Amino acid sequence: MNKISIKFKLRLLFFILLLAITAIGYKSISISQDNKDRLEIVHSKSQNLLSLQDKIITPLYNLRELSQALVMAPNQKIRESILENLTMSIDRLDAAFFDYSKESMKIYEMWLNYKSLIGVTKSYLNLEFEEGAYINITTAGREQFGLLVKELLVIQSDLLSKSSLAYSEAVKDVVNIKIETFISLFVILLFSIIIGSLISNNIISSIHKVQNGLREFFEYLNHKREKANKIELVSSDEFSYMANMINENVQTIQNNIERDEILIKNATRVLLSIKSGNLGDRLDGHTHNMALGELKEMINDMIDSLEEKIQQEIKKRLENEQILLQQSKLASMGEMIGNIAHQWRQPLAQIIAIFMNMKVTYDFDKFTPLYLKQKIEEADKLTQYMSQTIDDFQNFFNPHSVKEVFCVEKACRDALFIVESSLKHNHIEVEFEVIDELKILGHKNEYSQVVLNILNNAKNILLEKNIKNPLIKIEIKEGDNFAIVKIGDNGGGIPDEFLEKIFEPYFTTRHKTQGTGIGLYMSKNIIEKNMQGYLNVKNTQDGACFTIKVLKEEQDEPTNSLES
Amino acid sequence: MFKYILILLIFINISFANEHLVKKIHFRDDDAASRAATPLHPDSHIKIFIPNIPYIYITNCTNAGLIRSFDNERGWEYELAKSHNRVDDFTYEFELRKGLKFQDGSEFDTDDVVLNFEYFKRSPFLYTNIDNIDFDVIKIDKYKFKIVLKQKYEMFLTDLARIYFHTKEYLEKYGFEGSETGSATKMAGAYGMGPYTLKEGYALGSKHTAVIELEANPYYWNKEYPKIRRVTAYTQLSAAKALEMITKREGELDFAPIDFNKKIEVLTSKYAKLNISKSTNNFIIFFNLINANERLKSKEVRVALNQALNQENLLNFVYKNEGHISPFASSVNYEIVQKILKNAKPKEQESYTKEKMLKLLQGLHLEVFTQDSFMFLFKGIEYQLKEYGVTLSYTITSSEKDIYEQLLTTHKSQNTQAWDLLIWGDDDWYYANPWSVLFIYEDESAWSTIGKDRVMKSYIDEYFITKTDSKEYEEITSKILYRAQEMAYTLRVPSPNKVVALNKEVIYKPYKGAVIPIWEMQITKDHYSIRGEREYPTYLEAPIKPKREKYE
Repeated sequence: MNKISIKFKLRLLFFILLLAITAIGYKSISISQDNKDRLEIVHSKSQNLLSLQDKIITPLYNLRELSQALVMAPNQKIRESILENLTMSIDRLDAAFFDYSKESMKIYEMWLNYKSLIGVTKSYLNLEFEEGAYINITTAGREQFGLLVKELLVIQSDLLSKSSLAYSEAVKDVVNIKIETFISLFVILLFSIIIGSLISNNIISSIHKVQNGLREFFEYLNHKREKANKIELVSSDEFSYMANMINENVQTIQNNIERDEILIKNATRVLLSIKSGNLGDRLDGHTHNMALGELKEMINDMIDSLEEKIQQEIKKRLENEQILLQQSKLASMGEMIGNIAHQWRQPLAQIIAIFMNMKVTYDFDKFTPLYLKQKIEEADKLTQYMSQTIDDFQNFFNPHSVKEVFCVEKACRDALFIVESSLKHNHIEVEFEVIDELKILGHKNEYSQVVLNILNNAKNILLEKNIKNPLIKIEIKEGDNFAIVKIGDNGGGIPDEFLEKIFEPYFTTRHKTQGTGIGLYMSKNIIEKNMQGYLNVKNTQDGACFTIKVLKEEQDEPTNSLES
Repeated sequence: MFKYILILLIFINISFANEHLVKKIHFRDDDAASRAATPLHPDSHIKIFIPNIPYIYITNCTNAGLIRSFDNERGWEYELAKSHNRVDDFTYEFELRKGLKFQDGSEFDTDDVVLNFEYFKRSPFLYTNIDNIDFDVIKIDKYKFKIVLKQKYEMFLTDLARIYFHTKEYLEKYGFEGSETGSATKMAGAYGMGPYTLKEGYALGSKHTAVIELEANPYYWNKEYPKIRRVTAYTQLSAAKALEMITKREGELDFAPIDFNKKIEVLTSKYAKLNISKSTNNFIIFFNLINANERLKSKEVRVALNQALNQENLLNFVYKNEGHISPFASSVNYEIVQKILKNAKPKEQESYTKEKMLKLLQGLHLEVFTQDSFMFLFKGIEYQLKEYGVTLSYTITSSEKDIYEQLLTTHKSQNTQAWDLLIWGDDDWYYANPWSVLFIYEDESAWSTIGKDRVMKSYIDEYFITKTDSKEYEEITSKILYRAQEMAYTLRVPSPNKVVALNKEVIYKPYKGAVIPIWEMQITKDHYSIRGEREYPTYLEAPIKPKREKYE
């Protein structure tokens, strides 16, 4: 069996099926023909019976009824009508009985006699001898009718028996045929099932083995098993060839997959290396997978390209940073100079006044050494103050490399000191409210720088929008763990679409010549990256409010500076 | 061709006896006349049943008048008179036959005529107007006499056929006691002059014996008659009993009127044959307008009752076609009635709608008094009236005298039996004259149950004095008939034929009126009374095709 090809097995199966169908079809036709023959016999018997009933017995009863009605007719008109029907009925029966005379001469004789008795009845009626007609029809006529019908009924009964017999035989035959058919069908089906089962089992067994082999292979492909076994078939049919082919291909695919896996592992390693900033590694190894090969080439190209672009971007950024820092420095310097200018405006005016006083005093000859000494001392104090101002500014902008615990209020006031003159000059009112005395750990100047940035921003907005009664509120208070500084203004607030972007670098609502867009970016970096705090902004009823939250220091801790 | 040869062969075969072939019923011709026995065989004897007016039928046999009712154009023939001459409207001259003798052998002449008329005038019968007519009988010689009426009366000659002569002995003993039913012989004996002598019993109308025995009168003037020595007449048999006696057994009855629906029994009998003849007999169904159901006094109700009857259906299904539909209570077979129907323009009668008839008749219950022989008719009537909500209940008798007892006393409201409808077999006793029916409309008569009707009385008075062969007679008869029809004095039914069962060995020719000519009857040699020990021949048992006597 194993040496027979599937094609031959299927042909064999088809041939057996064809043979079974042919056998069943032949049997069915044979049964139908038998049944038809039997039905013809039964039908023929029934037809004889029916013909006797329809053509003779029923019309004969009808004739009897007509002949009685003829006698009983209440008037001549009705009688004539009945007579017409009776004559027609006799004519039809005459023909029917004549035909039947071939079957039974006796019946025909009886009919002729009955007909003649009806004739006698009619003749009596013609003679208006109704009583005679009545007696004839109810005695001799009745008796002859009875004999005739009795004879017909015997024949009918005989025909019925024959018909019934034919029917019974047909029924019996049908039962036999049914049994015979069942046995034939059973044998054919049994033979077909056995042969079919053998062939189909053989085929299905091979299919199952191939199926299992394929399943294992697919499981291997889906990483559910580590290895796909070979499909082992002992037959030498099409399935065996198929199994061999599948085995060869599975082996090839398995090899390719292993090679691809090595390549993918290599790629993973390269990507990890890239992730850690090393762009020097490249994918190597060989694959038969064209897509994977292309991917490998693309990844290597991409890494090359990326490395190049990163270098370019770093370079560009560095340049930008430089420019930005330069800009920022210039801006800070400008602002610092502006602030110094504001600080210096008063002492300079006093110095000028001293000089004018000295000239007037000299002109009026009241110039004395004492006076000169006094004025020189006054001028000296003023110049010292101005010098102190420069120191203070230098200190403020001087970066410290150590963290320290510092007072939040002090840091805020330092920042305010820087811009205070400018604010006053611009008539901007400042409300400074210290609710809690708080200390925090960090670079104080950086923190003051952040406050100064926010104050400068507020000042700029208030001036830019030309706000009436400009106001900046500074509030220091304690949170659960944080020292909170809120700096609000009444500048109308930040448009909603800018709220998210305000801390991004180079973002500014001011003209490029007026702002760098780096201040708040840097402020956020200082608070959140350097001091692990939070810098947020939100709009209040009449302006914006910046909140600086930095982890507070306990009050009893020493204020000594610590090395970072 | 084959078919005809086959049929020929079969008929040849059929002519031989075959069990499967039934022979047709052969109705033989009545050959009794050809086998007639010698008249007045000493043992000759027949038995007859006379359910209706036996007093008339018996008197016809036992008595004789100057003339006798007969089936000829004038309705009579000379009996004791040889001839007559109507001198004028009032005078009749008669000549008697010579050699006439009473049944006792004594001679009869003009003196006996005068004597009998003397007795008659003292107590005449009451069913015509003769009781109101005075006349003289004047002897001319031994055989001739004349009768002179003192007032005009055109029914006198017909009345003479009912004025019978009795011996002086009888007259002195019983007189001529006329009544509503005539003047029949009251006692058996040789008192009359008819062909038979009353040997036993009597029949008077209001009473009669159940059996009457007659014997041939050897002195009867016509030596041709009678032809049978003895006659036994039964008067009170039930219809069923009479039928059984004549059809089932030989020797019990030779003559019996039968119900129409019993014809087949007679035809198929071994011993009886059927004799059917057209007649002037009538069935009169009286409405009691004297002392019965008040609703009957409404003419509309009576008209509705008449219209409710389908005459054709009665004729077909009840009479079995043995009769004729008549628009009047009287038979349509009277010559005068046929003339009237032919010449007179019929009076238009309102035809009631079914709704009106239902309104008039619904819930009407009528008590019927009848002889059992008429029950077949009442069953048919009851069936038809039931459709209109009329119900009937019956009092049945087998004797006509019971009918008379109630009928003749109703006009004076002396009837003892309550009745709304009463039937009387009014055979044509006045012979060929519708007076047999018209006399019931004479409102002062004992026969009338209609109450007073002055219009009708005036018509009847005129009828009495109108010559029967005149145009006026037709007119006045028409008036009476249509008046009775208009007033619906009776419940009209078809005029019956005479349907009689006869012994096959009796030779008989019926009269159309109320005469049974027993004296003309003959028997054959095979009659049970004279054939001795000999069995009745089988071939004679075959049914006889009935004779339908016709008189046109």
